[in-house]
Amino acid sequence: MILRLIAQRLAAAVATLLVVSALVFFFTSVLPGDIAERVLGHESTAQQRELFRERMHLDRPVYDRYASWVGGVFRGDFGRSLVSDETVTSTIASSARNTLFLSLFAFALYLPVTLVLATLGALFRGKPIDSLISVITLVGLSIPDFVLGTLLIFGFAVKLSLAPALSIVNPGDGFFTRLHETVLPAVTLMVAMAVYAIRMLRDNLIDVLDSEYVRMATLKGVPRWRVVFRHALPNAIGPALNVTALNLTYLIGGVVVVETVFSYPGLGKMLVDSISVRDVPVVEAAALLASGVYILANLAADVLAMLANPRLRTT
Amino acid sequence: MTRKPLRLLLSALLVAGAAAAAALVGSASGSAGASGIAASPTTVQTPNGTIDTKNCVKYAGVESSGSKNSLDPAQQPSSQNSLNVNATYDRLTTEDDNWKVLPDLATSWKSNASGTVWTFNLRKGVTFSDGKPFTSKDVVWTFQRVIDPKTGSEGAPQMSFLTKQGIQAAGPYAVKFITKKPVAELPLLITNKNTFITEAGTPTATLRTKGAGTGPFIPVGFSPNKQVQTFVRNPHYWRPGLPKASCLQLYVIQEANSMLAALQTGQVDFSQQVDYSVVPVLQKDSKVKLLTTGPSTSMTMPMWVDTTPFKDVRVRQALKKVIDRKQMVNTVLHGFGVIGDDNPVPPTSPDAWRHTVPGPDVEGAKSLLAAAGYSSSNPLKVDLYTADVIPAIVNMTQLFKEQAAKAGIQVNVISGPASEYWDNVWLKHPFEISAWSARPAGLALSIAYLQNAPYPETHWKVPAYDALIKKANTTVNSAARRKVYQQAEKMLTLQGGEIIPMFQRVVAAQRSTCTGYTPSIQFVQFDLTHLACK
Repeated sequence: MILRLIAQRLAAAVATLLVVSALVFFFTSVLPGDIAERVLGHESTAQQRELFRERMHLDRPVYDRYASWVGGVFRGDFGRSLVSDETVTSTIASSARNTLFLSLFAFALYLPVTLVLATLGALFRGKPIDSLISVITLVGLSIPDFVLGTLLIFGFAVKLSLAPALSIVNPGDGFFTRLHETVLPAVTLMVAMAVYAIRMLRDNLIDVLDSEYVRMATLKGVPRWRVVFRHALPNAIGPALNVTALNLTYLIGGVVVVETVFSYPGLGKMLVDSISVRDVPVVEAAALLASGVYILANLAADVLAMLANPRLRTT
Repeated sequence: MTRKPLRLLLSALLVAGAAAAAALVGSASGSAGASGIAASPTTVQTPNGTIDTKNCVKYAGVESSGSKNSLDPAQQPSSQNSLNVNATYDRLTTEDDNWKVLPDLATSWKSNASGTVWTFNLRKGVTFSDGKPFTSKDVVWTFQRVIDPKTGSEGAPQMSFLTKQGIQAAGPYAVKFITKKPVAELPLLITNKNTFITEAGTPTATLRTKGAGTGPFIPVGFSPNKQVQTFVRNPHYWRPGLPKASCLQLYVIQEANSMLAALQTGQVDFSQQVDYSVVPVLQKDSKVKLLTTGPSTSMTMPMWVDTTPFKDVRVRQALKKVIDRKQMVNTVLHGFGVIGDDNPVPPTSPDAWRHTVPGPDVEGAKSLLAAAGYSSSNPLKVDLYTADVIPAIVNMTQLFKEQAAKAGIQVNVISGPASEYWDNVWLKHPFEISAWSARPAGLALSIAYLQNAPYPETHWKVPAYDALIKKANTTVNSAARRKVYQQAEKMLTLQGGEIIPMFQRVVAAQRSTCTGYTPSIQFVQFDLTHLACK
């Protein structure tokens, strides 16, 4: 019945993506500013812009262009960039891979840090370690991510020379070199996400640890670690998973700021550049990618919550 | 579902997810792709063997063209393209910071008596990086391509006096430029950022990523969105002993703090420009040396001379008199500027009509305003539109507001987003900010002030002014031409609508272990041949 749920949600996802793509397409075309002028620059002549518009079929109505674009997508063809005339897939492929690497790295740091700190805070509630964790997360919540990123650069790169100031990644770099190059932006993203999840998970865990069945298990003689990991955490983790799904959306957006601060060649930066130049095909593809990731992440969070907690399986 | 299959499903999902992630990550790290760069991270394969990029000189530019980055000289939307082009190609001539034209691929040039035919003699024995010889047909092809409307080059309007038929080869080592009317400053006007010489017949698509040039460096594996572009020394470069660097890597760092960090950690060796806000920090750092230039970009405030209240010349003069220009340079540019005389030609230039700029005169401004009908019960109120389009310009408007208040003028500063300014705000309001990159006198006086100027910022329509410029364009004798320019400049300073309080100096940086960088006042001209690091 979980499989049926997944199938239903995937169908809904496709419909959502279609709606998103239509909205992005129409909104980008009504943005002020002439695409030809944006691409060719404001010193271009009227004649040059006319030639450009003809070449890019911009004289056809919006609905027409959207329909042919959707047709192309179903065939796997995302069109060509209005600016560089290269295929959209090749334009965003390496940026998307870079952002994926950074996001996965940040996520891989985020999971253990959140679990450990939240569990410690809950188990030793009221003690110094809990207060320390609470203060750290509060400070982390208040600092904007670009300030945090800049502070990390000046602390770890300039003063301590432990990591590079700019996240320059070369195509031939090995896995561990890449990790070293992207550690500062990954930590920045991790902190920005973890601070919410830690507080939420800690609060939920405290509630669950106070509940009847946990006390029952303790009285029965179940060892503490088993109580926490086998019984308490799976129940507490539901809301934290939802926060994580929300954090993933933050990742898609916040990654723009972090990529700029660290000069990292990712999708966020590419999205901003292509919007300001009105490169509609690239904006579309990037927006679809971001929406797709968000929808899948939410689906995964819901499924995992259900798997962890059988009481949520309603069908 | 029962327990066991559920757990199997969960573990299977986790394993599948991890495998997919690993595969994607592996492909991201291992993809050498069509980049031409070998699998090892620090070595580069070139036609002349392998080079270790650790020894490359690292230069960081501050602008990004995004997907429009290319090696095609005809289109340079930002200085990122200009860096690529300056590394790969040469022009017939270059300019120094006083706009003196110097030989490059052309060895000498002269015009006929009437100034309608200019002949350029070309350097012999120069080859392109693919081995083909450089001759006059490449020059003819390059110029014809730049002025062709189909190419869409931003360098075309400046050379509107050239026609396709008027560009002719005179033998393999000479080129003639023939114009209907005399163009006294043709050598200066054809030395612009787009006229780097490319090989005749190269299709645009090839030029964008694989253009062959005669310049000091050869691009390796160029592609528009790469984070770092690598260039290697051209072994057949025609200047002996140059370039000093065996290879060059171009980075782009748009954030001021990131540039600061990169310079301090040595991740880059040279910087095209550092932001004024980080100058004090770098001045204290012994590992980084700051380099500066003469007056470069002007920071201006154009007023529409045909619109109230600026229609009254006394109002315009009052607004100019209240400004304490020295204070502006010290406060807004941290001293890295040159005061302006409301003249698009800076006072340090030999072409300027006066070299000493009078200081602020608040009392004079007040009496001018009183004569124009303003008083403390009827103060002059103006709206000034601004945006953060060049460093420190919004600060300039804020300081201007305070200085103007001393004479009872109320300035309402309206700040908007920088990305929309040039499209939606510029040229659309009677009083706003503008900025002009460094230009020689003739161009600076025409581009915004002629009656048919492409960018009539001040709505200045004075036939006598146009007559002066026309006369200057056809005056072949340079001393006589200068006198005419000076008359035109005097008109602008005393009566014109453009307030020009100051010019920025470019502030570049190089690590103390490196030598050889001399920044130019032109943001699009770079001499990369002498860069070297220990």
